[in-house]
Amino acid sequence: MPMKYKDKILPVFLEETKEHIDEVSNLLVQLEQKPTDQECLNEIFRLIHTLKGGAASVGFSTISDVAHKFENILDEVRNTHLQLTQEVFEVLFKTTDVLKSLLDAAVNGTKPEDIGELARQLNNISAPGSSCPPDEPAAKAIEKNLSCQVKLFENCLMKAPRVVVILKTLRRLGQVVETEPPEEQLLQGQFDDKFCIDIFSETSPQEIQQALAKTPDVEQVVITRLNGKETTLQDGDGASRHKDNQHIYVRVDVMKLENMINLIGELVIERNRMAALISEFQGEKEQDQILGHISAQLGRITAELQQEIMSSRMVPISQVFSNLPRLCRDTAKSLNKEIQLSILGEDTELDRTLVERLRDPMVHLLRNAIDHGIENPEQRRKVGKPRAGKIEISARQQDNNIIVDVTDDGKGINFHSVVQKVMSIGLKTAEEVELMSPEEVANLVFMPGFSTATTVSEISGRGVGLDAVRNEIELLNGSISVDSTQGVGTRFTIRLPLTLAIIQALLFSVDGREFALPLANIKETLSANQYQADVIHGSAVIKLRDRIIPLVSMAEFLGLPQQDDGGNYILVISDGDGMLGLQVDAMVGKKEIVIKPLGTFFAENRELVGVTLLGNGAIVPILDAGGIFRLTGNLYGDTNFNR
Amino acid sequence: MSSQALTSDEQQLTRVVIFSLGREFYGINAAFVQEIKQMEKITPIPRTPDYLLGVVNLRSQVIPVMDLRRRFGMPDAKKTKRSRIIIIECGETKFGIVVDIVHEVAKVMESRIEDTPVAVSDKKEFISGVYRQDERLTVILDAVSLIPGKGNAHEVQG
Repeated sequence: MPMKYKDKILPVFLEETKEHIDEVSNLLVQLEQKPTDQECLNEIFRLIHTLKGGAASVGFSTISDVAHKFENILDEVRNTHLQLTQEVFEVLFKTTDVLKSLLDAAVNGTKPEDIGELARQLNNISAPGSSCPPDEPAAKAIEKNLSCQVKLFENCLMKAPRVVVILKTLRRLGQVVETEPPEEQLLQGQFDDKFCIDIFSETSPQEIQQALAKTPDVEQVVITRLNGKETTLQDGDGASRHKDNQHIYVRVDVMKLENMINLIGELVIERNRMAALISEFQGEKEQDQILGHISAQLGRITAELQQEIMSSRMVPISQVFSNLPRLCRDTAKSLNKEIQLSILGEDTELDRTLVERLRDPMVHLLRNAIDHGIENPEQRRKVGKPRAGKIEISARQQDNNIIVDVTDDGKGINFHSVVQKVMSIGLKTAEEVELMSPEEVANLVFMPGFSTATTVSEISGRGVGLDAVRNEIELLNGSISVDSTQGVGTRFTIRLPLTLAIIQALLFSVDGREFALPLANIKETLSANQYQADVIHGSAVIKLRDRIIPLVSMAEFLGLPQQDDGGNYILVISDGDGMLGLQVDAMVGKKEIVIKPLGTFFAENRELVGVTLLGNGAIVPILDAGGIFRLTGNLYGDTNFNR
Repeated sequence: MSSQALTSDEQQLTRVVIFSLGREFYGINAAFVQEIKQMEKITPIPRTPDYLLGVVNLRSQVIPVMDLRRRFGMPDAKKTKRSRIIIIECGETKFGIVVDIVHEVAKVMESRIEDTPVAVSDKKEFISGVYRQDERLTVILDAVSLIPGKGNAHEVQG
C-alpha cells in the first residue's frame, strides 16, 4: 500500500519541486539585489521547507539533507547570526543547482552528483550551534493546551508531505503531544482530508493558525484552546485566501488531455462531414428542417467543447520565463555586464506544448541580448547611458496570437554591415538585396550561417544562434521579427498561435517515402505475413479474427511502385464501424506532430489532412483516414461486405 | 507595386523578373516575387496533377511548387544548374514555379506592355500582356492565374 501511494505522489512531487527550485533561484536573484528583503527571505525559507518535507516523504534523503542544510543557513540569516555576503550567495546558488541536479538524477535514475564539497561549504558558512532542530519526534509532553484541526483540500495528492510540513511547523512553534489519527498513519497519508493535532505551545493560536495556513493544499485550520477558555478561529488568513479564489484544481495526466483533444478533433471533422451532407440533401420536408437545426446545434456544442478543452491546455507563460532571471544574472556576471531584467505579462496563457519548446529560444534571445545587445558598463557610460543595461521581456495576447517581445537598450544592429556581410559570404547577391524591403533586410540576421558578432563567444554559441531560434519558432507555426535602431536598442518579437494543432501520429513508409496517419484513426498494426489475403468480388481482403476487412495497398493507392509481396505491415484503420487494412512497406515510429494545412493547391486531395515538418526539415504528408475510406470506396467498389 | 513616379504617367516603371522556358522569354511582376531559389529537393505529394511537383520547406513554410513547362503543356526539359524556383506571393497564397533560367530584373515602362496579340492563343489565360524590346518578345504572366482554380485559368489541355 505505502509503495503504491508513493508511486502516485512521486510525479506530483517531482513537478512541484522543480517549480519550487526555480522559484527559489529567482527569489535568490531578487534577494541578492536587495538583501534586506525579509519577505523574500521568508518565502525562500518556506519553499525550501516544503521541499525538504516532500523529499523526505518520498524517500529522497540526499535532497532532504541538502535542503535541511540550506534551511539552516537561511535560519541563521534570519536570526542575524549570518551576513548575506557574496560568498554566501554563491553557495546558496550552487545549492539550488545541486538540488536541481539531484532531482534530475532521481527522475532519470542516474547516479547523483557527489555533494561532499557542497556539504563542506554549507557547513563552513553555517555558524556552529545555531541550527534548526532535527526532525525527531518530540518527547511526549504531559500537557497540551491547543488542538489544531486541519482540513486539506479533497483532491490533495500530497497528503503525507503536507503532514510532514505541518508537523514540522508545529514542532517549531511548540510540542506535538497527540495526533488523531496516530502520527504513523498520518505520515502515510492514511486519512480522509481532516486530522487533528494536539500541542502544547506558548505561541498565540492566531500565529499558529497563520503558519499552518501557509502550507499548500490546506483548506481550513481551526485552533481550539483546551484549557477551558475556548477560542475558535475560523476562516483565518489561509481559509480566506482560498475563498478569494475558489477554483479547485485537479492535476490531470497530459496524455489524457491529448487524447481528449484528438477525439475532439475527430468529432469536429465528423461533424463537418455531416453538416456538409445535410446541407447537400436539404429539402423542404419538415424532417430536413429539423435535421438542419440539430446539425447547427451540434456544431455549436462541438465548437464550445473544443474551445473548453483547448483552454484546459493553457498554462501561464511564467513557466517559460521561470529560469530567466537566474540565467540573466549568471550570464551578465560572466560577461562583466550589469543588467536590469524586467518581465511583464507573466500571466499570459499559452498552449502547454509551446512552453517546453519556447524555453530554448527565449534563453537564446536573452543571452543574445546580454552578449551582443547590451554594451559593457564603460561603453555605456561613454555614450551617456546608465551603467546597467535594461532588458525587458514582455508577453501579451493579441487576437489569436501570443506575442513575446525581448527588448534591450543596447547598441542596436548595424543593418548596413549586415547587408555587407550577407553579400560578402555569398548568402545573397546584390540584385537580391536590391529587391528587399527594409523589413526583409532586418530579417537577414536570421539566415543560417549568419552572425553579426565578429568574435565567437561562449555565451551565445557559434553563429547557430538566431536561425536556430527562427527554425524552432516556425516549427511552432509562429514567426519572429526584429526591429532595431542603432545606438538605441533592439527588439525581437515572437508571434505564436494561441493553440496548436498537435496530434499523435504513426509514421510509415511506402516506396521509401514517409507518410503519417493520426494515431487516433489506427486500431491496430499487423505483420502482413501472418495474414493471408483473399479476393472477394475482385477486391483483396484479410480475415481479422471474425471479421473480413478490405485490404488496400497503399503503394497502389498513392500511385507508387509496389513491393513484390505488397508490403510488410498492415495498419487497420477505422471510421466508427467500418474497418480497412492498409498495407505499407515499413514502420517508422510514433511521433507528436504539428499539422500544417495545405492550401488551395491541394484542395482536391481529400486523403490529405496536411503535412508536417520533421526536425531535419523533411516534409511528411499526413493522411486522413476518413478520406481514404471514401476514396477507396470509389476505387474498390462495394466495401460493405463486412457488415 | 514598386513603380517609381517619374515626370509623367507615361513613364511609370515596373520591375519585372525575366526568365525563360526553352527559347521563350517570360516575365512576372517583381512585386509578386518573394525570392528566387536554386533547385532543391521537392517532396512529391501523391495523387496530384503532374504539373505539381510537390512541396518545399521554405524556412518552415510549406510551399507548393509547380513545373511551369508542364503547366503550359510544354515538353519536359532536363533540370540544369541554371534551373531556378521562383517563389511567388499572391496575397495569402505562396507557391513556386520551376523555370529554366532567370535572366534579370528588368525595369519596364508600363506603357510598353501591350495587350496580348490575338495570334497568341495558347496559354492565353495566364498572360497579362507582351513586351517587345529589340528582337526579344517577353510574355508577361498574370501571377494569380497560375493558381489552380483562380483567375481565368482552367485545366491545361494535354
